[in-house]
Amino acid sequence: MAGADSSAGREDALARLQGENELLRGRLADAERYTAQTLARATRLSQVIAVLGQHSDLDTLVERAALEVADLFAADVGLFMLGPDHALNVEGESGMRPADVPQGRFAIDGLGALTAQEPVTFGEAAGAILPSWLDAYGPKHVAWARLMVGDESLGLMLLVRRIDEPFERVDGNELRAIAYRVALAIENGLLHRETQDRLVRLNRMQIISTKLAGTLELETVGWIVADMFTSELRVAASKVLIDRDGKILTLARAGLDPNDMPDDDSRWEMLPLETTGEPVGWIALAGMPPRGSEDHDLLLHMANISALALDKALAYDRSQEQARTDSLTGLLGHRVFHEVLGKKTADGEKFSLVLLDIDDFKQINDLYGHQVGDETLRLVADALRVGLRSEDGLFRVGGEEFCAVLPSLGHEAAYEVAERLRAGVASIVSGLPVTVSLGVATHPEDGVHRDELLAQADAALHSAKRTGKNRTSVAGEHVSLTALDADRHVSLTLLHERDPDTLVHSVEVATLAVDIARHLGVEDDRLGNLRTAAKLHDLGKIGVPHSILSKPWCLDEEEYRIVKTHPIVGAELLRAWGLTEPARFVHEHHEHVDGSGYPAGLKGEKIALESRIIHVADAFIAMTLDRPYRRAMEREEALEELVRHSGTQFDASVVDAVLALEREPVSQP
Amino acid sequence: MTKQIESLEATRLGGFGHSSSEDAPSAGRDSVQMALAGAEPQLGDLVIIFPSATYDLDSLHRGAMDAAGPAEVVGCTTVGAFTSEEQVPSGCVAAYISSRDISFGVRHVERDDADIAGCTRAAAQEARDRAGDRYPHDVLMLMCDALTPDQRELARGAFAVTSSVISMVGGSAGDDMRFEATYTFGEGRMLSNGILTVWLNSAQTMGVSVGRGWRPFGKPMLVTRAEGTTILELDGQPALDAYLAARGMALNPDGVSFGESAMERPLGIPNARGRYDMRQIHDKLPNGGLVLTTGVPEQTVVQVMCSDTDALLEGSRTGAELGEAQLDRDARMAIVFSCCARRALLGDRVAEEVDTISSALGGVPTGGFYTCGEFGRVTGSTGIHNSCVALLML
Repeated sequence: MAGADSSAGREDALARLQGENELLRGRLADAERYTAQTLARATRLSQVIAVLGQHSDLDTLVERAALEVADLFAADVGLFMLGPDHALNVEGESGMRPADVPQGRFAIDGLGALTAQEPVTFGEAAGAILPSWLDAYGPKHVAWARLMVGDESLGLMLLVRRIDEPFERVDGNELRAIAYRVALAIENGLLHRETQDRLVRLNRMQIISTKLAGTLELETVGWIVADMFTSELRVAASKVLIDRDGKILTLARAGLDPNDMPDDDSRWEMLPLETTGEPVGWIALAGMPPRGSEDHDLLLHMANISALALDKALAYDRSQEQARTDSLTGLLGHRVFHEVLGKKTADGEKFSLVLLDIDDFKQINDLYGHQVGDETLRLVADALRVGLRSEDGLFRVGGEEFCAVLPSLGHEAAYEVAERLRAGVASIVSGLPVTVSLGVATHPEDGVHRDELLAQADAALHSAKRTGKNRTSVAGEHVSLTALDADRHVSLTLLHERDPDTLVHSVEVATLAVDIARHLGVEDDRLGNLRTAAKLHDLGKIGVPHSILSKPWCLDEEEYRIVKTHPIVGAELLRAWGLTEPARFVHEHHEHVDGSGYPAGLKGEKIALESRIIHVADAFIAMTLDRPYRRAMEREEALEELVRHSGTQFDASVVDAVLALEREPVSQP
Repeated sequence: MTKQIESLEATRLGGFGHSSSEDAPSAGRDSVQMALAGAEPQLGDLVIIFPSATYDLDSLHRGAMDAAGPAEVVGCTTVGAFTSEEQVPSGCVAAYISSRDISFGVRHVERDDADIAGCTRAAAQEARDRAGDRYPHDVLMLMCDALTPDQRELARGAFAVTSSVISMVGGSAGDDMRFEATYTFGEGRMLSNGILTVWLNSAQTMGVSVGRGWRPFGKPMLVTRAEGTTILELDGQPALDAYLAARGMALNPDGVSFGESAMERPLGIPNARGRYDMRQIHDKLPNGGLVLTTGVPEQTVVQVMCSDTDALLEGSRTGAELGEAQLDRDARMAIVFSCCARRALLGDRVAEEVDTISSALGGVPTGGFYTCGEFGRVTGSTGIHNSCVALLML
């Protein structure tokens, strides 16, 4: 029995010891768990700070913070939502399916009690404030923390546990500290983002400023400015306005679709674009940033830069317009006329030309002086403007020569317009009888090519002059060509076919030659023959084979010898037509003042002044015109070439006249 | 040597096979055939291979694919593999899983070290898309190269796809502790810098769990300086000195690498749930740094951890029970990702771990491999483990 008792006692003791052992094991396990939790908690804050310190980019920082904080608090979902409670945005998340993360702003109500004094709350998910889009995650416990910096709320932090392990009070205390640290890091991140955004923006503005500084074309400047205000300065819509002849014009617009642009003027704010206190234009803006804001300040700064760019572009535009416009009459000049004519003929448009010339204009100048002559030109230009449609073009193409381009009109209609113009000029009340003669030619009936058409209009004009002036002649109808005229016509046509550029060139040479002559004080009665000679100075090229005229490289000796015959051939033709004086000028227009020219090797004043003038004008125009064998020179370059050969090839006084003209164009083209 | 370890039943989900043949194609083919146990592999089925890295792996892979027919072959090299019947320190273990009620999506990509999380996220998403969403239950299985610079980045990328509601499990490949080159298999190719993602979309509940069995041994130490996956200082001292002082036992004699010697005294990071996230020390640096496979932030508390065979086996059993608790029925098979450190510590009792797990699950087919890092996440946000056993119960 005793043995049995003893055995039972041992078994009881063993069982008791085993029980105690289990108890101790359990306590040890609890102690280990408690220690681990304590240790983990002890360093959570410093771990979060260490992680936050590794990132300055806000996106990365918030994303990593969400993961780290969730991990450190054994949460399954971690969310950082930034913004005011009524417009929060998820900036960082951990543990959610991307498709479940709300896009855009959303509101979370009922967390107003979370303040700087008490920024944390936690508890069971049931009954807690929780967005419905988290329901699918089976939340058991949640913890909210407001991200406060001072009294300012940057947003909210939310931790969700899916297992039934509640957040404890000690968790809440740490969350409070961590939320504050994260908020500071987010504020720094926001500042960093703002600084980066500002730097990127300023860099873009710098690029735009540089682009503006390098842009002269007015419309382009307008577009850049309008676009800059909407794309970079965050206004809804913008318009760039300029004053053009007293009318406010919209140069460019950007932003909203024109149909959506505010119609109501009150919704636009006008900002004058000023340089030295004077407005050069205006920028109209819809949706301006608030005054005093950084965006507003930047906007004003860019408005100043825009004003400078616009001022420069307007000045450039004016200079371009002046270069194209005759300052006396305000009409477009001969260069533009030739451009327009070239384009219309190349495009195959139907149109008519009315070429007109003031009758006996020389007498007006001689009798009443140039001042009255200039006034007459202005009055004629005004009278012609009145007689034309808005789509018609009017150009001053020579001293007293004008040309109207009449789109879509044929012979008959153009003749009616021409007669109306003639009558309009005849009715000018100026104390002087002013009349014009007119020649009409129609494209393509009277000439397919520009020069051909112009020659036809010119022939009709001369016909009108010959048959009594103050009248209109139409090409091919009212022009009665004499045998001599027919011969002249054939020769000119032949020349055009041989070298299509020659007639354009000749017209330009004639215009410049007359300008030079006037500058040199050549009497007006000599200008007619000069103009004729200048226009026909290359007539002799009809005797030069086309293969030589169109050769795209330098001529060999034999070819050059053939080319050198053209002054002789041209002069012979002109003499045959009874144009004796022009014939001499043409004959000598390749002579050099140092005797090195051709065909006679004449020197100095042995060469007619008109020929010396034509020689210089011919060379200058030729150099500034594209030729088969070389590209056109810049005008400055051509002038330098003239100066280089002044006194040897060219008459020095004529070269000086060209230099003076180029620097200060004469008022009468 | 081959041995069939499972009988073919009509309701069988799958099973394991193994081969210790020295011939690479035979090892691949035989292990798969044994896992198939006479079943005809179907398109959509999954075959997982766990070969030793010493094989001609291309040949072994081809042999396995030949045997697997239209089934998808995935897997990785190991520090040894096992089934509930056999420890296979050098050979190949294969698992076969029928697609009868599981849809598998596989994506196998090369790692981009500049954006490990990004390429893992993309791979996991692609795997998920391929698996589809026909069934209500999902798990992501992840395997990777052991030389991945920071395995936490892998977990971060995977977590972006799984979110907190889908579990993740898996392990890092091995090369018998040489740490020279490890390989992953999938989509018909073998990669030395691979990330293998296998998405399981199942009609049945699946269980994922982690078994531990470690306890703190040394005093708590603060990581005062760290760079990436290297701890440079502990409590302001060179990390190696602090570790050696705290580990309480000498390193193993010469002939064993520092990493192997450190296995029995890994580091533990206490977490908010009162557990320790284990971190094996892979190597030491001349500057006194300790190299881990996962980044440890500065200001983290670490402790030297210790264990014994009973505790490890108890950890494995607890892990199996935790996983089984997630199932609404009996487990049908289990895939085990056990840390190579456990194999070393278990020594002669190593086979008991798989037995313990299998027994806890009612004797279901069980197999897996010894890893260089385990993935197992059910709650929380990282799921990175060392010195643990991660379990997938189907």
